[in-house]
Amino acid sequence: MYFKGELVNLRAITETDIKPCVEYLNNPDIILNLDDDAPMPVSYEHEKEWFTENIKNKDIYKGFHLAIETKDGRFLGSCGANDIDAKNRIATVGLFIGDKDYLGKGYGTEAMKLLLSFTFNELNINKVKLHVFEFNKRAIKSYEKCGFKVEAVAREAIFRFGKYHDEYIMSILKDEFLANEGSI
Amino acid sequence: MFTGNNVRLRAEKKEDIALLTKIKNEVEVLENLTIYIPYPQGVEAGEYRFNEKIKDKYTKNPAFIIEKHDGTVIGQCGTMHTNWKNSYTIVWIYIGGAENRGCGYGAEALSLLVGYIFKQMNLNRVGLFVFDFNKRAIKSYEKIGFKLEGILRQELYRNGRYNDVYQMSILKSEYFSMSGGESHVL
Repeated sequence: MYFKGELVNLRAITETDIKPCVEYLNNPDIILNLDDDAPMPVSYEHEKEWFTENIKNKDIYKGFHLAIETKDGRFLGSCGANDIDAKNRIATVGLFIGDKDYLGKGYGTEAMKLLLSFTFNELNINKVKLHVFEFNKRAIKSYEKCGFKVEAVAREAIFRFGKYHDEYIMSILKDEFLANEGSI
Repeated sequence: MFTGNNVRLRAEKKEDIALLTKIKNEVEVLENLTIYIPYPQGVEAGEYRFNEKIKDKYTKNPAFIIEKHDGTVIGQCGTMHTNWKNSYTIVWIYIGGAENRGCGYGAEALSLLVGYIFKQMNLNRVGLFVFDFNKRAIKSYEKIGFKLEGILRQELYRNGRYNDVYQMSILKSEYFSMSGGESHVL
């Protein structure tokens, strides 16, 4: 169903994911595309704390995170909704593939499709949105494949590599997703 | 810095809370200001917010009372989500009383605030969000120099349906290239 694809599965994040996760997040190529804060190195303890806090959350409308793994069980990264605006039924999602051998091969795209299917079919969400930096061309292409459209360009919204860059706000509506679910 | 032709920006005082509560509970203000459930609040909520705010001595999100030159309080404007590293803030404003809307008071107050952000806070970008049914406000923001950078589809559920939200912004470079750092409406 929602959590099983052809290339990847989505599953609960476990304690054994913390170590590879720290390794992924300490790779500048990964973190510079992921977060609009200055790219500080992260420690095992820091991620462990995030994990410990996160598993206490029982309310899915406060956000949720899932691990992305290959069919043979290799942990690749994670995806989920950081923020859910319950009244307006909007989920703001995020996703990263941390293992560079698996970038550009459709693993992230499939994980996003699974995440969208779960969100629209089970969470009663009307709109899924995300933020992506304009220099992250690979991600933008992948999101477009999933059916996301650019709805706003926040000009000069992120300072990185010595200058300001635009940030794209992309979204997909429930009607758009469910109308094409079989084909995308 | 704080004074325009018709209005000025000043600090919020305890005595303002009752009037501000009344203004914020006006349906026109409730409908246009928040993306959350629009419910009225009592004076106590205003007092609580005021008491929390004054503890924040070195705030990164300044806010002001808007008053006319005769001292009549007509609303409030301010900043939120100020981000020093990426150098942006988001502004908000509301004007109470039908007689005060559509007279340019809001545009003048917001221009003062935008000037304050670029000239005193050293930020690079000012963003704002406005609901698609608030045509008067959109026109007013365009007059100040804000540009539409996107339409957030079905972003707000209000009055029985999903509405679009306009995302607008003005950059420091744009602000200083307009008449030497003074917005047209001043």
